[in-house]
Amino acid sequence: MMNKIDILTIKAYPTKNLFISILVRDISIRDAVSDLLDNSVDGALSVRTDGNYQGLWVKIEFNPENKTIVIQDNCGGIDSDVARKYAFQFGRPEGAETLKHSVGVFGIGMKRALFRLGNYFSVESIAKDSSFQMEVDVGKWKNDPVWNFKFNKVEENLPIEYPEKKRGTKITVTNLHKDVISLFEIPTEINSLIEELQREHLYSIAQGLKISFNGNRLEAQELRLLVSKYIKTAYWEELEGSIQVKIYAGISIKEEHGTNGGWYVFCNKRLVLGPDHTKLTGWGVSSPIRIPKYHSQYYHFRGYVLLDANDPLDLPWNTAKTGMDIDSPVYRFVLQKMIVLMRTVIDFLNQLHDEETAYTKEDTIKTPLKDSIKKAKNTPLGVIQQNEVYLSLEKFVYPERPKQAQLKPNQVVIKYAIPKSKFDLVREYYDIDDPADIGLETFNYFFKREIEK
Amino acid sequence: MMDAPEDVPSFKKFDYRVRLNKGTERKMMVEVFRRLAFFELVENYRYIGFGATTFADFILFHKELNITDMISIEKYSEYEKRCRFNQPFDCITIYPDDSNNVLPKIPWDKRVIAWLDYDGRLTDAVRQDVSYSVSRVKSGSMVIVTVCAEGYLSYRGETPAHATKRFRKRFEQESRLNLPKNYEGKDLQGIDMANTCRKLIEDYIRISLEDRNGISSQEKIMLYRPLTNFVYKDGAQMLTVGGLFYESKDDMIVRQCLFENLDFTSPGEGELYEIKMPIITPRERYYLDQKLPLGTYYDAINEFGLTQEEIDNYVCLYRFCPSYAEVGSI
Repeated sequence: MMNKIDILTIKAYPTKNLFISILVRDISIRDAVSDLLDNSVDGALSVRTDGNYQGLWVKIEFNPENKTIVIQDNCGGIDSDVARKYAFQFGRPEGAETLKHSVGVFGIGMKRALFRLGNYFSVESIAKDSSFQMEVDVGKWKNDPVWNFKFNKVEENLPIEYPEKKRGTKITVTNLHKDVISLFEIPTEINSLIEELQREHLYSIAQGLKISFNGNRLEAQELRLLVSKYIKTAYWEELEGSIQVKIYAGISIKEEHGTNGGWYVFCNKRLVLGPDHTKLTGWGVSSPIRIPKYHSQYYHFRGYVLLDANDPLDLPWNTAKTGMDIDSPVYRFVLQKMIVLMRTVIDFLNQLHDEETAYTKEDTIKTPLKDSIKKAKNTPLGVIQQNEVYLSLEKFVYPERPKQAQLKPNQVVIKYAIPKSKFDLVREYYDIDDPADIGLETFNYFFKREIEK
Repeated sequence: MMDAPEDVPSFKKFDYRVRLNKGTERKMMVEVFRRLAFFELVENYRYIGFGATTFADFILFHKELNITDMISIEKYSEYEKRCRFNQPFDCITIYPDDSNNVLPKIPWDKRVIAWLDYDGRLTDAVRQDVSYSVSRVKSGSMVIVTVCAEGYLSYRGETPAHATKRFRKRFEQESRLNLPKNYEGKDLQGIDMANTCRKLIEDYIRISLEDRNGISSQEKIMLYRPLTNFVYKDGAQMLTVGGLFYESKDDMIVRQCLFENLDFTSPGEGELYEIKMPIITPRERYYLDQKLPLGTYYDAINEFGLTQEEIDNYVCLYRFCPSYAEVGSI
């Protein structure tokens, strides 16, 4: 006899196949590698809460012959209990504790990345007082109606802790998908992957985390700003609820194509946007005040936005962590502040441009703004943050430029050089010191007698 | 011959001191500003205005409120010398540049009363000044905008559809602003032009506040309380929109200010208060004053022929009525 429930119930479980295909649809191979790296960086953060990553490393090895990718780190490992309850669950369970200030947000990053890359993966991890090993054959797992992963080996609550050196995680993905292999066989693609990883993890690399890809050490330009007694970075910071916002706007070295100029927006230390020269960070906007589009005049500009939250879900980034949710209240607020700060730097750069133009046209020989840049020191952001003398609330500080008499459109400037001995005689005659005034007098003298009727 | 500048500042066209309704408005402002004292002594506020060469608002606010931190923005930098010559007190700093450039340069480290008193119409530049000021002010500050809001005129026989098309185009071209689709030709005529401009300005305020309040905790949410929404004519129709910006934690302070006791601060949701000071003689004025605030003054209708409207208007505003007399020197 048929059970009543069975007649009434329609099974709506997703098939694993559908689930996986939806999960990996919008993620690029590069994002997948990046997600796995995030995992290690979160580990680094949990072992070194002070942000000093000296001695920590992550190695990414791609082997086209074995069709494998291995990501190995010494960043503390994944606790077996965390693995059981959170790390391998799809989606973050409600009320789950998150690692403070982490980049892992949505509870899908690592699994999604593993599915995206290949058909077989293993995770080995040694944490403080536990360790585990897990292998998943994705093909087999797909056909199993049960939604479980299984440890192959696990040990926990060990009486003797593993030494710090031994702790870490090793993720191996084998049987890589075709598109993954063909992508990684192209050297330029590998280069751009490395560049992207460098960019995204700028902050962690600068803090000493050693990341390598097939033996190539990733490098990061340090975040720097030109500061001195006369040039001070505009800054603004606020701790509101769970979100800490720090914004710095100033100038740095001007490069030929200005690629490194612009804004850098970090969420929990990961670069999510930048160097950006678009409307997303205020270039070319008109509210709350007009900002010009990015062009060579503004190559000096550097802005750093550091958004930090205990709960990464509070931050305005998208799931791929490659962009900002620009309509979120948090970002709207931050952007308004960014524009207020950058406007004062733009004013300076406009004046610098005027000064250059005046100098080229020989209207002036003094270039106090340019000189002030020359004398300023390109200083790491970390140092600036510790030194109040280099910071100015909400307003970029720079030397005053002496005012020039403004020319009206129907006016002409005359310039000439004469021997000082002759000049002195005329100066005595008029009893005026300023050469410009003397020039005017002598011109008028001629005009009155020879031209005026 | 000197080239005439393209647009002439209005202080070259009018004598600000004898504009009756404008003068009344300024005195009404004093009454509003006084009440800010519940936030902080008004003399500690900074006043930001467009003083031009007459500085009428600066003189009044300095004398009446003892504000000593004053910034005058002078768009026409070629008149800088004249402005400086006419500067009435030493406590005014003149910034000779466009307000778009000056507002980002000045400090916003204390409470302000900013009266952006433009001669011209509502434009994108005005929108920027408003948005920017709103993004910067501290709780307890006031931002007020005055613009020309003279309505457009249709020609005889022009269909509403044609007028809508023509006026919308003209408005968008002149202002370089986007006019939302729901505004029609009639919304850009007469008093409705003032209402339209008011709604637009309030939209800009709201958007800027929404950005600003992005991450603010409940008590730090910045709110806007409209207080000075006036319309008046001393020539062209002028619109003043403005009010108080305060964080929600300061709600109690705002209540203490009792702005509602000033009738003109709350003419009703979405309405404008019309300042229409009747032109009456000193003798008529003294007659009415003697009977105010409580007496019966309507006998003036029969006594010497004032209309009821003139009397009503005078009674509402008599405390703010400026007195003009010819004098030999200032």
